[in-house]
Amino acid sequence: MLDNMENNSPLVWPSDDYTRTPYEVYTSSEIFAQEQQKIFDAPTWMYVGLECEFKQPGDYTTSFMGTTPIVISLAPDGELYGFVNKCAHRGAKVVRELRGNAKFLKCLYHGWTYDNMGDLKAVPLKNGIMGQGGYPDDFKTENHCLRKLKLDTIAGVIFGSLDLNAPPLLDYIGPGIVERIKTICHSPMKVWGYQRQTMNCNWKLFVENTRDMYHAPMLHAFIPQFGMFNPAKQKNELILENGGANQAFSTYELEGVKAAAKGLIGKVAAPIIKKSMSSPADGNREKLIFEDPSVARGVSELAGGLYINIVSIFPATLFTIIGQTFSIRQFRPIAPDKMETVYTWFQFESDDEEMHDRRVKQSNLLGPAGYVSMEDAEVMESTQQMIARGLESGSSFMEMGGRNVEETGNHGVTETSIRGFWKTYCKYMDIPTSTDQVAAE
Amino acid sequence: MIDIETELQLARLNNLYVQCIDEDRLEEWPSFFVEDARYIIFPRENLDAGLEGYWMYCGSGAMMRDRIKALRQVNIYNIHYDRHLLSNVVLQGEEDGVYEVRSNYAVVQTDVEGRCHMFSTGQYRDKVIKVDDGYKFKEKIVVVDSFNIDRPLAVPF
Repeated sequence: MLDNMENNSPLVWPSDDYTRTPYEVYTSSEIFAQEQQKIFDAPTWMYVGLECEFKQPGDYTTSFMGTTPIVISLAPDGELYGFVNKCAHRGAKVVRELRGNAKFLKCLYHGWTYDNMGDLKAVPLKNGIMGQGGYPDDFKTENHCLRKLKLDTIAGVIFGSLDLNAPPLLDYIGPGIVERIKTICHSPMKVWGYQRQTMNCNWKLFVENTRDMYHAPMLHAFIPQFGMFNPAKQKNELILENGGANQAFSTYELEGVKAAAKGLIGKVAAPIIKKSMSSPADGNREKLIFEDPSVARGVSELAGGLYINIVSIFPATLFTIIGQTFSIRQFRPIAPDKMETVYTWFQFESDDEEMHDRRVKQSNLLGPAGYVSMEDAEVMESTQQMIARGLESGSSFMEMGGRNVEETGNHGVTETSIRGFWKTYCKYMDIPTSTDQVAAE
Repeated sequence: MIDIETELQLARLNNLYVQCIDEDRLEEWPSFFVEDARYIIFPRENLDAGLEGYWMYCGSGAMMRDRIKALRQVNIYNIHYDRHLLSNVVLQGEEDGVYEVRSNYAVVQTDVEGRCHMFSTGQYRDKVIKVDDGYKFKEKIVVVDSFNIDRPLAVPF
């Protein structure tokens, strides 16, 4: 790749229609470092928690934005505050627990003590001991507060930005998807649990995976067996203004799941999906029949009969609704070839026992052991291995669904949402494009 | 006073259980449970926080058999060998014919190129009952200390 000395960009994007992604974006340390500055410590927004996680003043959680460790806390004034978990003294970790409650946050090293807003309140030995040492007279605690985040919420979901001048959250996400989040998070929520998975792959491989609807029935063979969803029937909406958010969704009616209660969906949709997904290598696959198929049978509970909704908010936030399962994922880059996914699963205060039990059963669909998700970790780790071990030059090829970046689609048999991610990525990273590579092919 | 003979029998139950998994006789896995048993893989973070958030939930023998069927017929996951290390099997007590047993487990996983790593560790918390030809699990809760998992979780712990 050519160095572009004018922009200080480490590379030139090999296509101006985003149909090619250079493999070095998944392996380069230089690009990884630039991403922290231009994408994460930037006017972008990320999921950082749910309001229902903070009930009492002093409640706090620890999390991350990119590689930056953060704390979210509820202060006595009833407001939420976010700040970076790095002591203003010499960079130590201030809050060590995953979550908890504390009136003051005291750094273990020298006892610098912050309040729930991240402001420095007390410094032991500020005036020395018996006239020896201490800080200079011009030392002021208010000059040594923890770096603050900008926070905002939609329907009980908390987003954060490391840039205090980030655009309004509603503008960043776009009104269509904001309304969808309100549909999903329709009433008071409660956390069902957290799940953490570390994968040896670049974080962007996973973001691509979650904007790719047509891989699902092929990689996750569970799906066509149960006729769970058909990408030909899904709707897609990509917002290229501001944040580059994307959502793919389907309703019970679109998927022909009107008869879900009678268990007919498997018999109707499954053969159609299986036939179009198959290739000569498939051979004769025995039909999978579950003794208890209710794990794959959702019932309509959301407005509009929403059945599946995968909402990807640039850069690293994902809402996943499938049937009765509701979860939000954060993607955390750790190294060019390592990332972590944290799921926050939630349910509703209004759920009765039957609904709770449905949600627990269907939780088998997702997570590290998910019936429709376990394959993702395998394919992404093995992709990273092949990219890293082989030649790092070259690019991926993404022309499914066309060569442009379309904003709406009536089907999910497309890579347009992935092209849209890369277009947004190049915008934030200031990466110029060229048509040289495509011309040379 | 704990009956040591019973504790040994319960240790044997767990030994046979992990051997079944390690030797890839997964179709026999549900037979270690009674029909209306529960099997749960429970990340410790959630147990400690008073939450659920299970990685795997089988609320019946049917769900267990379904899980194995899916693994054999449709799910794709990393090629590997699992090897359980089981220790500290302790009979906590017995009430109304239900034995409470706790033990330590670790799963060492070997990949397709023959490299191994410590994949998971934690505690089995079992409720066991006596049946005609021995003992079976009424409940096995796998409390996972290592609640940040790498690789897919495919085969039950």
